[in-house]
Amino acid sequence: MNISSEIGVWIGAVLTLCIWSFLWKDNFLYKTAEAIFIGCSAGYIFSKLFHESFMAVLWNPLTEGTTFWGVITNPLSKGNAFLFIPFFLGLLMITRLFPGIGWMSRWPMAFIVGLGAGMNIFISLQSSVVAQLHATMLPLVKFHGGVFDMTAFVDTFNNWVIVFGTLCALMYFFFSIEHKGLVSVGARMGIYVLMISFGASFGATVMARISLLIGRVRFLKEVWLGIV
Amino acid sequence: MNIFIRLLKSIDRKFIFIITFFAVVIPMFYPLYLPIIPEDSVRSIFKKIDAIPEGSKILMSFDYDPASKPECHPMAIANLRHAFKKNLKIVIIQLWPFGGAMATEAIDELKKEFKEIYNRDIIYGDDYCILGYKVGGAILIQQSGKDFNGTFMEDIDGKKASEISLTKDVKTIKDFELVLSYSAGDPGIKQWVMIVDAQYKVPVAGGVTAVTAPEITPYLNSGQLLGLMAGLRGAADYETLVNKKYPPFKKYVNSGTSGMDPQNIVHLMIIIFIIIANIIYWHDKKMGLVR
Repeated sequence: MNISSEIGVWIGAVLTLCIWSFLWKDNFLYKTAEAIFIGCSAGYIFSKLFHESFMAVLWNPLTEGTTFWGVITNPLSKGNAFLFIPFFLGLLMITRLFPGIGWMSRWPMAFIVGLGAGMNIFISLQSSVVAQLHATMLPLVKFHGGVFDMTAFVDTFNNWVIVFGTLCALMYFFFSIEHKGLVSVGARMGIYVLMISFGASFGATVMARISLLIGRVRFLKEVWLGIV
Repeated sequence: MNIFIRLLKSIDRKFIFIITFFAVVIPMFYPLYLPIIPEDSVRSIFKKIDAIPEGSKILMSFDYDPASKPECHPMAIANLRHAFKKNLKIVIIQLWPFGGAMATEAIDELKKEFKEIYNRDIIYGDDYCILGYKVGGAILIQQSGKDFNGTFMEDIDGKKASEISLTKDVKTIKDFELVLSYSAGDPGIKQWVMIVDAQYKVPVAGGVTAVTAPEITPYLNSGQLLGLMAGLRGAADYETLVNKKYPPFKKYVNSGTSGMDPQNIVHLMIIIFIIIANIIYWHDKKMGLVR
């Protein structure tokens, strides 16, 4: 055992224990650690955004090699005048802080929403609809080198699960026809397919949470207490 | 039977927390060394990196933060080990504000390993570089397909990308042999697949947290994603493949591999808990206590 002498490690270890104290019940130590986490994260992100986004992308190109007031003349001479557009939209976003003129912040917001929606419609259709549809168009009987062996049987089974699983799940969400007869059977099968996928998601969530616990326990054991 | 059921129902949830804690801690002190058989989705990443010619450039996007570090960090380290050993040139970017700090920490760890094992220095600007954080997510990725250095303009120290030896010749995202994203959410691997694979035809692979894995797996099945490491298990798979090919790395921290024993034990425990809970439910249903 070789307990760490680094103050950062001790702070990390104490805050971890404070957060874990919530498992017993909500308490002051937990709330303090939570507040420190939120404050540190917000401060760090603000600093990163300011230096690596605002300064690097906007302010430095606007003022490069000039004085503060050169921000007006310099971009015009260097052909960076288009940077005034995001600068102006950014200023409009800040108007949200002033109730009287807060409505002006809707303009940059509209720009962001429009840009995001316009771009996402195209890429989502391409990758999440067309490519996924293509991936479900599978042969319902598959052969391996012209032979229906065990591998071919497994592949065939998988293809049936994918094709009919997709159809049944879609049938469950098809509300234009009353769920009776064959449609009802398909919709019921669709519920089972959805429940299996929820089960898979639950399993993955458990795995993720346990991984986080393992990470913290390892930090306490190996980094803080020095037990390797 | 009724007494047994009443006893089970009286168990406090704190008892479950304590059992979970010990199920994690005990295998860490007394490892079982359960076998790890890498999945095909992880093997395909390993094969791809192995096949890339020496000196080629690959792009790694660190799209996670300390909250998801236990899952994403081990897989990033395992990929970096392999890539550095193959003498690939690594350009690192970050779509999440903490990505740069995560990448720096991972590479600092590897610098020590490579010095000790191969007496080799991993040099910034020559072997790797870390470009600064930018907001924009999908828009940045889209833009990098047209003008990479114009999109990711500076590194984390404020040096221009066009002046760094590793990035000065990079024109677009197509100059990279492979894009790897370590992703804990949005923006992340989904955007890389949707834009870089679909529009620029550059192979995309990477690792995700286990929570995100079910959402990303369809892109793997449809062939849009070259390979996928899901959660700590994905990291363990990749570490196994790297350690098999380069045994000296076995003696260093392999967080994924060492995390598999506790992971397996806790999963077994949770399965038992679910069975017990269902027994109680069936019993109560039979007794007419629940509808």
